[in-house]
Amino acid sequence: MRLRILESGHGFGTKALFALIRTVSRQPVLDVVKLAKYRADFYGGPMQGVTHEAMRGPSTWSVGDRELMAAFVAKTNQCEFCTKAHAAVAQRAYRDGKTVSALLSDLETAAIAEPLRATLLMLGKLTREHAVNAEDM
Amino acid sequence: MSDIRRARKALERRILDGAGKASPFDRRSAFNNSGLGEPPGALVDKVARHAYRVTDEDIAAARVSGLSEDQVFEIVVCAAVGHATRQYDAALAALEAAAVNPIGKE
Repeated sequence: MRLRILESGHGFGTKALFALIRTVSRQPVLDVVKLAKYRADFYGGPMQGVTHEAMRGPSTWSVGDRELMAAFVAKTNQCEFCTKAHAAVAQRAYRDGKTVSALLSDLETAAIAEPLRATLLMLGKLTREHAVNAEDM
Repeated sequence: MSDIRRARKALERRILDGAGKASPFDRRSAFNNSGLGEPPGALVDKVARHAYRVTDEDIAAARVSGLSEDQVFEIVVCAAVGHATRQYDAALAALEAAAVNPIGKE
């Protein structure tokens, strides 16, 4: 079963927003949006603060790099929706669709800078094995 | 404290110590992936370690155990954020260890 509260438990204002989204986009509201908007003071609001800092806050990694990392982690987690969503943003940020696709297919041979490749390998291990050590760094 | 650490701390404090429908004990147990009985314990472990394997039946089993939908929602959030926090802390610890003993300079 799915949680019904995430389908129809939102407040009046959020339901109105969802109706607007459906009308304008002619698409159903994404599940991730329904989750983030449900009791947003509990999870969606504070999580947005974390996401914004990690993905758009000050960093030596570009927005494209960070979106690529998110896509790679999502692929390791076998989440198809998140992989495609982050990959699409990475492609836009880089203005390069081929490298992102190649990298998600085969990290070892993709034409990317070595520090980024090494970082992705470390993130892949952390996601798969839930642990990393100093050598991985 | 950096902005990202402050944001992470605010999220952790809200879901564990703020108002909620699930008890603080259940939320903390879900966050730690430790101490919850079955069946919510199995759901929490799946969310933490391989969320893509969660099924409708796992949610239904948690509901049958007496949890409300809001309590399941909170416990799943706590399980996910708890596991992400452990991964984040593990990576920072590894980074610190690497900075103290850089490869080739031991």
